[in-house]
Amino acid sequence: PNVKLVTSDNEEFVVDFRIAKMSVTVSRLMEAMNMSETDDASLLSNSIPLPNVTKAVMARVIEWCEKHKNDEPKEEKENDKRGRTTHVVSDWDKEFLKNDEFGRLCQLMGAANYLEIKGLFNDISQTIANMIHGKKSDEIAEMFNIHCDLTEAEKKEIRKKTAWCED
Amino acid sequence: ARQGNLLTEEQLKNQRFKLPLDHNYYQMEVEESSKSMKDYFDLLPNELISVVISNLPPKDRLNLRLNKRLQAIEVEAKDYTRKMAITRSDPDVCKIKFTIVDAQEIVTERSHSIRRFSQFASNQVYKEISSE
Repeated sequence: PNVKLVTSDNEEFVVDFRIAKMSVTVSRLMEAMNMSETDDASLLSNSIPLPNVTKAVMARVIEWCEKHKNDEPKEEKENDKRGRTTHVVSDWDKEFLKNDEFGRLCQLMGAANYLEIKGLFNDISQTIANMIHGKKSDEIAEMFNIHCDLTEAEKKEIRKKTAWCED
Repeated sequence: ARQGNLLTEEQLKNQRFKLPLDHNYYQMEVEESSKSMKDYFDLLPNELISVVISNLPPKDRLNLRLNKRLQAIEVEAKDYTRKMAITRSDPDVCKIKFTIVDAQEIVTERSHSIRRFSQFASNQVYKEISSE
């Protein structure tokens, strides 16, 4: 069975029921609209409005979901020596996200958050974190075009306050 | 009384973010606005930056304190360090090393903001722990 999703720019996407269910938000909406996998009439006569996602972003989300629709629910690995729970981005996901410029990554992250697709959300947040990891402050500032509004005194204070951190 | 602050494995898991995070980011037309964007992090709301920061080790987090906004977000963001060694290099300075080592003073299963770690470093909280 298929489900119709309608984006903010009125583009209709017809997706497999399993893909629609990957989004907690869509899942809840289908439930509220009494749309059921076994009731074709309910699926045909209804569409799910997604006013916070544009068609360009939706297409990327669906591409990701298509790839991951048969995935088993993943346990987050505790593989960091510091004990933080980290998310491992698969090779396919790295490839999928590598050409997205930062603005598009942000859009995708926002959409994954709104649609409640945790796997995609984790992939993007970890990808951005990986872009930052190991870089010096000035490199990060240049990469993300970060405007520094701190005074010299404030910068000095930050350096003083963070001097305790050894790595 | 401080037992209440010790986090179990389950509590730590539950402290991870739960979607959706609350913000009104989606109305933003990123592609349009990004053309004149001075700062790429302006594309992300605080809540999402906070999630990105939570994926970073302390040194990277601190390197991200590049402006007032990022500094404020970073200060409030939690870090999920399970073990750390507190070492004293001179009588007035207490440093924290974020590796699992066999040091005498090891605090386990705790989750605090960087500000809290800073308090550890300045020895305020360390004294409390010592007296448990």
